[in-house]
Amino acid sequence: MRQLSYFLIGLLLALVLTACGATASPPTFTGGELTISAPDSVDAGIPISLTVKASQAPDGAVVTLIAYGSAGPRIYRGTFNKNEAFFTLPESDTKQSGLVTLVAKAGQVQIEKRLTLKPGAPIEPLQPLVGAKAVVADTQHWSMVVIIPFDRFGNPVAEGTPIKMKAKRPDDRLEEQVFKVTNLLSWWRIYSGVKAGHTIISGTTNGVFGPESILHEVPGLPVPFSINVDPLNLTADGTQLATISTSTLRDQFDNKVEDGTLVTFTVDLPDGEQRVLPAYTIDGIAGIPLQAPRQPGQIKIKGTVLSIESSVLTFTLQPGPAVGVFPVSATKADSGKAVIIEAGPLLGAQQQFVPDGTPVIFTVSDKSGQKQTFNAISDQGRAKVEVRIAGMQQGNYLVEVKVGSGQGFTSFSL
Amino acid sequence: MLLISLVGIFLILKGTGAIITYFQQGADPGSALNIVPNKPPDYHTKIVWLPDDPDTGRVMEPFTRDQIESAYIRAWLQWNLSQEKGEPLGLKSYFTGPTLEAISNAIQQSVSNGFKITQTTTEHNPHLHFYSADGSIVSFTEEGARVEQIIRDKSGQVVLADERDSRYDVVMLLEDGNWRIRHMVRINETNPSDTKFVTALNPGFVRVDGASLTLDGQPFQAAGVNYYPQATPWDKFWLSYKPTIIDEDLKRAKDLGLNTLRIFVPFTQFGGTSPTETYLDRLDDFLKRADQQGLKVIVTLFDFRTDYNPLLWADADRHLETLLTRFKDYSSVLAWDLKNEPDLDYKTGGRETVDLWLRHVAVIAREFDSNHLLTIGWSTSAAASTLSNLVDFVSFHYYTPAVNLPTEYNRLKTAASDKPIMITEFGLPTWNTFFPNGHSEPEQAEYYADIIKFLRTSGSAGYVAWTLYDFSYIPGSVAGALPWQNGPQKELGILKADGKPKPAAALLAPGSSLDVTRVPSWAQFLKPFWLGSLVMLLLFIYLIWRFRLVERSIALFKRYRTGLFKLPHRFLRLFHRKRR
Repeated sequence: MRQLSYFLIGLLLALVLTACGATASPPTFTGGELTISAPDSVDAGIPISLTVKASQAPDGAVVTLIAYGSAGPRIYRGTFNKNEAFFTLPESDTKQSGLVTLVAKAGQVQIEKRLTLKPGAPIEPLQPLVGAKAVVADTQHWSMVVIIPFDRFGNPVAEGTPIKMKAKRPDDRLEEQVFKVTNLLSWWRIYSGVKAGHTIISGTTNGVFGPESILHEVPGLPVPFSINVDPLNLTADGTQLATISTSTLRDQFDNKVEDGTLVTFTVDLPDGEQRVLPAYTIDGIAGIPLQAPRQPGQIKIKGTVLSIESSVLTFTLQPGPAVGVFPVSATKADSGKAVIIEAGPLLGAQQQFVPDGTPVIFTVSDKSGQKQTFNAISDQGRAKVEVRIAGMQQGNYLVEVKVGSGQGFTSFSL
Repeated sequence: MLLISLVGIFLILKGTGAIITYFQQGADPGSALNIVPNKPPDYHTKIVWLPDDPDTGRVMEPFTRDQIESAYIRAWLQWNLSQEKGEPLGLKSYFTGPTLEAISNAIQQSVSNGFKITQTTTEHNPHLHFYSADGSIVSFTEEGARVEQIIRDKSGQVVLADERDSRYDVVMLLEDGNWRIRHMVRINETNPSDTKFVTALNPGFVRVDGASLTLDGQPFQAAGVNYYPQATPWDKFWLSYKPTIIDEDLKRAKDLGLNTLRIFVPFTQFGGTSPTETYLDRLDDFLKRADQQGLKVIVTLFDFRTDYNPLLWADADRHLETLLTRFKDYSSVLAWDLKNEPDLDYKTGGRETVDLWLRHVAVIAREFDSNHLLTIGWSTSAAASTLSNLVDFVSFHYYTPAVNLPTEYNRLKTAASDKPIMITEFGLPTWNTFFPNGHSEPEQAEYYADIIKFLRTSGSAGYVAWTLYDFSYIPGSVAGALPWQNGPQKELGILKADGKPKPAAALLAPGSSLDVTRVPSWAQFLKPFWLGSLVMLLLFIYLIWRFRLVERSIALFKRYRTGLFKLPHRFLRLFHRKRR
């Protein structure tokens, strides 16, 4: 009897434990209608409470709510209690503006409702994005200012939001235009003016501001320009320098071209050689030194900026500094160890002495044609060199002296 | 001889030249840059730019459009992959700003709540509004991103499977040389299945009129067979396509009074994503020859394609697009059968996924071809009401006893009341061997007569028997390799393998007499199976009898043997007694 009692108690305990261990499956929604009670539209970033109602749902039946929005689906689960299931979409889930399709599904029944999350007011900074950064100030070229205003969650603001854009021109004019946000942004095709300089651009809307952006309005291509050479009375001595320069380069609206504009000078020399000399503008003018050639004659200079060419400057390179044939003498020095070669008077075109310091080149050739060159400079219209005779062969020597275009000859014997 | 020598020399020189050229060339210099294209070459999602706004700020160059298109498609793909993976995967390369943050958060939230989202997109239609002068900002509306999503909970149960055409306003920025989505705001959506398509009314095309089919204004009831050439069925059909055989078989079908054939287009064999010209030409040839014989053809698509992974749907779309756009004007096509027996794939592909894919395919099939009817070849009448709202006529396959057909048919008719119903496969094998369930040719004819009689009187859209021929070859993947598996499949034809007609062949033609000699019920016991069973039974009885005989013999032997063993002892005992 006692054993039977133990057995029955054990059996009872086993039954109780089994019942505790078993998980009761939740009741399922088998039919009926569903409705979603939610607002049609609400501001983004606030919690949304909504209710899924069923015509007949057992308490505890599971309902799934899918909120299909701009960032993809967010999924929630709830249970019916007295035919209603309550959901709260937290603030973090409602930040993204746009259409949200709410899909409630219980069992095989599915219902949808649309909810629009409206973006908030724009916040600072209202950043004007300018591109191209620089345009030619010719009233034809244009750039763009784009502003993508967003709310505190980073959502683009509502379509139609007015954005006022301002542009302070280089000539101090202030332009203002209001653009409505369309397709998430507002933009302004801003045409250049006629004065080169910086245009300062900004945008505002309803007391919301942002930083400025700069549009560079740069001068266009220069109008045809002229070339100057200074000095013009350059002599063909192969030494002197003259400066080639442009006139002030200006575009059609009288803006000086940008510093650093490349001007290419093409110089045609009397001997047929052509020199191409690059130069960059400073304050509208480009200049570069030109070394005088040795060959006198006509020189042509042309400047080019991209496709724009200057007028051609033509001038004549005068012979000089000495002209014609001048006397040269060779005498043995008192010491008997050298020959003194003296040239002069070295006269220019106006029968004047060549400037002191003018290079004079003496060339001494022996009978075999071997040459020695000696350099001197003029002083008071004359130049001389002392040629040491030690080591020189006996015989006749020919002396040639050159001073620019002028020359003289003599000979001596050892 | 001279010519052969010349050709030989030419080939040798050409080959040598090719080898020298090969060794003279290094690697493609571009490969050193290792530039990975944004859009994977094997990703076939469709993108069609709608006409740009009249003033987009700046006219977009084709190169930039390509760049933006690739980056945009890739962004979606990366989003899909992230959903699949359950974590933000490489999103930074394609999204930026608040959109990057929002999408990443949403993915992580789904995972932490125990949901898995499979997402894909199969079509995009951007409409350009703005392109900035400096080429760094673009704004467009995605007029229709076709997004397919399957959401599963922790247990793997599908919570939602649907397809939506969503509209988004999008802003993309060019950041460090890459286009990224900065803003993407969902602004509207439509359900692709809700799109109403108007079927063109071209002459020569079969149309739906209420619950019936019509052809050029006259009622049309399909009477046909499923077709494979006798010697080259299934995978060998298109591979060994022979127009002369086709001509003979089509003429044969015509002579039998048939008006419809049902054929299959194997997805992979035809080239998958990019169907090959060779196979398209063969299908083209078949349809033209069928047209010459006045036969209509139900073309079953995606045959042997059983992978329903949503990321591969776009591949199927391109296959469908190629076929349907090429053959949309062929009046010989009665209908496109979108899939053969898709309900059999529920087990492996998942019911919701398979059904969603069918919905998707049905919608785009109409976009590509509004001339032809659509159907789905369900394996049973019970499955056939599925998606009946998306097809022009409901079709199913029937291999169960004819006596049950009226009940099943009427049940389906109620479920899909507004649609014509066609049986696109039915049949009874005449494989009659020592295995059970064999049938004779008269039984086949009786079965055909019963089925057709009901379908003619019930106002159905017709019937297509399985098949024209008996076959001597069945691929193992179709019916199994064992004789009792593929044996019946081999002999389901209305013509024997040698081309001789079975009695059922005369019953299919519209209006043909269905008077067949009923097979008496006792006749089934004359089949090899029953005769064999009888023989086996007798053999069994005989063996039992023999077994008892043997048993008795063994018993006798044992007794005898026991006696022998005991003999020495007895003898010894006697001996001992004697000694005592």
